[in-house]
Amino acid sequence: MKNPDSTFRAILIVQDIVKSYPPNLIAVNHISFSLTKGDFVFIVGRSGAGKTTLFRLLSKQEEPDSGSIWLNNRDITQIPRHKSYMVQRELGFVFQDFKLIHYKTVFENVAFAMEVQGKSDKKIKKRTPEVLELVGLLHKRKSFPAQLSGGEQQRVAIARAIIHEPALLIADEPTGNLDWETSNEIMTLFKTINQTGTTILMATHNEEIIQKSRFRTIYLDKGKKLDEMVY
Amino acid sequence: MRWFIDLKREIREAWIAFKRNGINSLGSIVISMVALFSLAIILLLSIYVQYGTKSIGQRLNITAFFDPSTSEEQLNETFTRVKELKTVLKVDFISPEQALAELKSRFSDLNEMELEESPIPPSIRVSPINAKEVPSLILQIKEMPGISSVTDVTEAARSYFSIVNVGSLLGLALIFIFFAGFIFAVSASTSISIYSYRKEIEIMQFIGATRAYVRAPFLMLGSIYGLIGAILASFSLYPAYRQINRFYYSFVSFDPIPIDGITMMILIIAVIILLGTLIGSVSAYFSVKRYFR
Repeated sequence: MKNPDSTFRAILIVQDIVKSYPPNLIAVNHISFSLTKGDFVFIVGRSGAGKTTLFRLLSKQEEPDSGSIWLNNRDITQIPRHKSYMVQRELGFVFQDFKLIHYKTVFENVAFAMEVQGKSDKKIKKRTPEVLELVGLLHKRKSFPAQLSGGEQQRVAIARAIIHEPALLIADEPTGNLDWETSNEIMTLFKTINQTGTTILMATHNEEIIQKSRFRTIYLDKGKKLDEMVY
Repeated sequence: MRWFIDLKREIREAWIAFKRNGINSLGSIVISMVALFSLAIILLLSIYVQYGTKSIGQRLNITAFFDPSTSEEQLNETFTRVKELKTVLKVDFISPEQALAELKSRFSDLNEMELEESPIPPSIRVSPINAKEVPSLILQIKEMPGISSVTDVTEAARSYFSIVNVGSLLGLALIFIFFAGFIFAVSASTSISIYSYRKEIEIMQFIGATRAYVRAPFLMLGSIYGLIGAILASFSLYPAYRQINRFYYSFVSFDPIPIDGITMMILIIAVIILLGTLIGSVSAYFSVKRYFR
């Protein structure tokens, strides 16, 4: 199948997707939107709005009841479940709770993403310091997550998410556990990454960040797309 | 080299899971050791029983008496037919005089009697290849021309085999119980390890790990349980082997087992190591399959 909208370099096209859970919860209700390369888009909504379900659908952790999701000109809903790693390798994920492995050092946590994808040691040793440099943590490469502040841990998570140069970076409330100042630093880092051409889709509650950044924003409520704001 | 790097990673991750799940790992190893030790003992016993059966069979001689009126030609013909039977190891012709001499040597009282002629008819003494052949051999010899009676050692053979059969059944039942325990213990331990690894698994899945990449360390963990259990069982095997060997030779001192002890031990240890590793990983596979359904 061909991407229905391949003409305008769409990285992601979400087409009328629906996801429900028994007995009668419709978590995502006919949502459609698209992202082009280099976009930075916020997804905003209260708890239960469908943000996390949407991200789970994008990462093939869940399958939609109907609709299609095109990532890099490929309908990922047609990819069998056991090959979901192919989709995940085109994405990068950043979470509110960082999801770092406590017994691995900063370097090992970041390198892990390449290791898992079967990249050679040579490539890992070349690329990991580059990304650590980008997030400003090269000097802490030998530290363990417990020895880092929240902001630093999130930087490690960001480095891990971008090390394989994903087509789309998905961030689920990345500043949710951080103070105002650190949140701003993290947002600055995301903007820097975005400027290198990485497309970013970020869920957030933080209105201040949205107002300050003035990026395209999609509002969700009870699984539906309420509004879309383009600055 | 990729496979070597993967193998190293799988062993490393499995070892971390092993340590993280200390008590359960220990339990799985003990159960796998008991199961594999019991299997090794039963294998060892079956080798001794097999040779013992052969040896006892050769002692369970069948004596077939000819009718006194049988012609010499008929005696020779029957002797040849018995000798040609595939289940027969050896046939000896016993003349009446020879039989009397043997009898006199066993019962000294008979020496005082003056017998002009031996009252014992001519006979053949048949040694079967294996004790298992005794009942069918007796039936075959009874039907041969000139044979008037056959000493029935079937009962002796039957008693021996009923002991062996009961022993085999008990052994199999024990193996079944221990192996069921082994599979259950490894499977349960692997499930706990997978659960304690759920955060890492989630991370791996988000960063594009294949199913095989995520599952392999847990299969390796099951193999490690089986392997360590087998190694410990192997250490306990030597004293057991010595006891069984001593016991065997106290009964069958005349017929040594043709395999030397070291070869036998190496073979059994190889079997339990292979089986332990295989069953360990298969048991782990059940848990892995259940978790990643």
